[in-house]
Amino acid sequence: MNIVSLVLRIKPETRAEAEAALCAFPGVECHGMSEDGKLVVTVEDAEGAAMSDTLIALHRVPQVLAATLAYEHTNVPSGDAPLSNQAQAAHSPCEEAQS
Amino acid sequence: MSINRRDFIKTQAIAAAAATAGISVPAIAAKKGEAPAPAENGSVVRWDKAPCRFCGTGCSVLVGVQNGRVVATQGDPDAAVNRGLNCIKGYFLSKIMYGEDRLTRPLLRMKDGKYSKDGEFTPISWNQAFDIMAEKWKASLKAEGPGSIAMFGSGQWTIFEGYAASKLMKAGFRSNNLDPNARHCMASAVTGFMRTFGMDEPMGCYDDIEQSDAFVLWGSNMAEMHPILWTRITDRRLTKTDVQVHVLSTFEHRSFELADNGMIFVPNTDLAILNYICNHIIQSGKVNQEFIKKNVNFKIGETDIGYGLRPAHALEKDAKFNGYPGADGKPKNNPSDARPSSFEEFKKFVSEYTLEKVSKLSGVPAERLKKLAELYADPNKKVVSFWTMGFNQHTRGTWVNNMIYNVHLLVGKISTPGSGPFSLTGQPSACGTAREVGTFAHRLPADMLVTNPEHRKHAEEIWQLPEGTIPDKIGLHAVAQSRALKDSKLKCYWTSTTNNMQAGPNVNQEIYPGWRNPAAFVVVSDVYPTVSALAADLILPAAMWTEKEGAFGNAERRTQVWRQQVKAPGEAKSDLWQFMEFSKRFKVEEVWPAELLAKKPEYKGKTLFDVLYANKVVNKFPKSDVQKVNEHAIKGYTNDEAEVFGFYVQKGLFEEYAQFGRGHGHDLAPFDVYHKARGLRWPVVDGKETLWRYREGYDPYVKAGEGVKFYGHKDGKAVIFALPYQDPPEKPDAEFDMWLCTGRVLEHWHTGSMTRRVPELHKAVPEAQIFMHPDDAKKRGLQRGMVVKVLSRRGEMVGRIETKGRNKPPVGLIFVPFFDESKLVNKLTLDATCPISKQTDFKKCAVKVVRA
Repeated sequence: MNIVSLVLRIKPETRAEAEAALCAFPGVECHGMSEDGKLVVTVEDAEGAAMSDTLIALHRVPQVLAATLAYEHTNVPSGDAPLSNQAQAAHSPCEEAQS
Repeated sequence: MSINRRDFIKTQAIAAAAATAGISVPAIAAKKGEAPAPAENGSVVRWDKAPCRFCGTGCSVLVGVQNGRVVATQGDPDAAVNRGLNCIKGYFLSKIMYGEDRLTRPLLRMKDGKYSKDGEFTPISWNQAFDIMAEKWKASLKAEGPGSIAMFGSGQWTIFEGYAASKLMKAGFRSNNLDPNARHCMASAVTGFMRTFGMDEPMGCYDDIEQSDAFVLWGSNMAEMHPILWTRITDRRLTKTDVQVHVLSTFEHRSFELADNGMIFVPNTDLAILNYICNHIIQSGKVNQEFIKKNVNFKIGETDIGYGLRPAHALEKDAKFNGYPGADGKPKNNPSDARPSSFEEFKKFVSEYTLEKVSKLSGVPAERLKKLAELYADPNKKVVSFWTMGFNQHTRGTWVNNMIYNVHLLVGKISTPGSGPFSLTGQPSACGTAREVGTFAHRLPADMLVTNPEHRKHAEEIWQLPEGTIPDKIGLHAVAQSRALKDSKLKCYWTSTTNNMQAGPNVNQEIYPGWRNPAAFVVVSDVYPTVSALAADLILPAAMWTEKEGAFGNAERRTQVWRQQVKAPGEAKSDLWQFMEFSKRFKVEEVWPAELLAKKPEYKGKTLFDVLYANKVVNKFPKSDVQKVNEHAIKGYTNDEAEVFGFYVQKGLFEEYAQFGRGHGHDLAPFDVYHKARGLRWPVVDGKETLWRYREGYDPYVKAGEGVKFYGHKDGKAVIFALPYQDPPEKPDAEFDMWLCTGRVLEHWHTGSMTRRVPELHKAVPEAQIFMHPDDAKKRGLQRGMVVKVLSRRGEMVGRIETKGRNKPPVGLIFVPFFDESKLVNKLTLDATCPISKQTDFKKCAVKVVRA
């Protein structure tokens, strides 16, 4: 199970086109946008599309001005404990998760 | 795996992103209060901070280690640079160390059990590797002296490694033939800063972004190359409606999507555009007279300075100020020469750069140029100018850096929150290691120069060396090293943490013939079998990034330190270990002349290791300090160098190095502090970092009442240089009818030696494409996706045409990234440099494109 969330920056007036282009990728969902164009998106593994590949492809959507990761949950290669921000609370998780 | 667990994690993910975006997502509220999902098993991941291994932004990441392996990285929430954010490439950091073909043993070209230039790479021990190296180095030093050996280093070296290498070369071997690959990326920025301000590196910092009204990109595609800084700019642009973004480039790229004013200009005409802006500022009466009167001197620079080509080249023979030996053997003046001038003279000088003339020359519509000039001129607009390789990789790279300072100085928009010129860097420690440590052929630490007797004396005192140890002659710079190898003047060459056979210019005619010259013995230290490694005679396997303790310095003067997190594979060793261990192979009397040694007879019989590293300063801190300094983060911590050498090597090197800068405007905090902080911006005085240099109230070196003081120059003033537009050395003509510009793409970093080994990044962009305008393709009977041949006067490459990609060149120009080792675009590029900075122009040469 691999899930990440991103905050994409788009011009607010391009939201409809951007969301249409983004949601065309399997495993991508859009969850809301701030007034100034910060779009909340999750990416997860889907049939025939690994999360990590989709993640790279998203920044190429023309409406996407900038992309940053907010939360990552990935299974490590060895099959040990999965990694996510919450797993390291003692070592200051992402500020997004805290606030 | 239960559905509930997936839902729970997804909810967490949405909540995290929503918090960043500053919105509430209704679906989340209902889920709050649920118990966290249990981990699938109890194995513990240890997290610790480290600066990212890629670009010069200097984001801090949290590195997750499990069972002795780096398994994940994520944005560090405590880092001021990236505030918990991570870019796409940064997401894959954990995979760069685990390519299948990591080098794990020294490999020597051998035939019949012996070294042979045309032998096959054969595994040998470190002992054998240093044996053959020492044999070659000693023979060369004995026969031809220190000028016959050289080292090519890196802006990816840790500060400790750069400092140890500098001591080994400049003090130990007494050769200034040490240069970093940063020569290819930052040298023009350095000479630009030194010429205008007398002191290197930006005055401002990233905090400018959230306070500025406008951003101007000059030859920089920050959207792809500096994504975290670009995100900060985008946020500023989208949250404040009157913020403007201007983007200048020779082709359209992703950064244009945010631009309010995008401008495509004819290569090299940035020189004319900058002079037009100055002319506009003066003609419209917007000069900040008070500021320039108090803080600025005017000069006129020499202009007949050549192009850094070989001295016999037609374009160099008649140049009067290229610094090359003339008929009498003496250097033909200095390309950096300039004579004193005045505001009136400058006003007259730039007056010929009218809007009409410059619009015609540059191809940029007049209204766009005017909008740009008005922005700089407007006293109520705070402006930050950012640039990277478009400026620096330029045969007039020093000039164009000087000229952007002209603009900011004329209006006084400098050294103040929200306004300033800002030179970005592409390597993680181009600033920290290459520039601050001074691993350039002309430099010593803290901006000091090998040609200055006072500076050499000061360095010799700190290093406890007899006077006269450090040679007074500037060593060979990057391009000169390649030429000297080809010309059989260099016999022993050690390159480390860099890939010049792919990244250097004119590979076909200059670099490859030099490395394969039977007279030369070439050693490459690296982590993967790069093009350079495979062209060497001896390959040394290196440790990388968090396989060693390190320190980097980013573009905003921020020094960041990290702990060793994991072991390097096989027999791979850090460059630091390599330099220090190799130094044990030399007795002082084998490398220093008797008269020098006579000044310090107590060094007789000692090794270079004893003199350089076991000098009671570098080895001052016991091994037990390693644990003491780092216990707060990793229980029972140690590092490989401390285990081998028996003292805290990194701390000793750092504290000796810091002596150069403390009290001289380059102050660093005590070493231990960096192991707790998320980096500090120098000068760090009384525990406080400096955000804006040269301004009272921010910079501890500017006294009360002084206001602004450019204290790099003795009179406290910066310099505005009158410099003209000139043509580049090579332009498209009837036969080679297109411009070639090289560069990068988001998915890959530099020569791709790391990112091409991350399966996801390689899969996303498996090969370098030739970005071309559709009309150019059509005119040549070519189509998108077709395999074509690109030829220059120096070589050729084969690749696929892309006419609809992310980069959209204008008619007459192609863009080809240089990350792809199977398509060496640097077989085509010209080894012309800025004659002042000696940095290559990778952004413009003439090529033709034909069917393959």
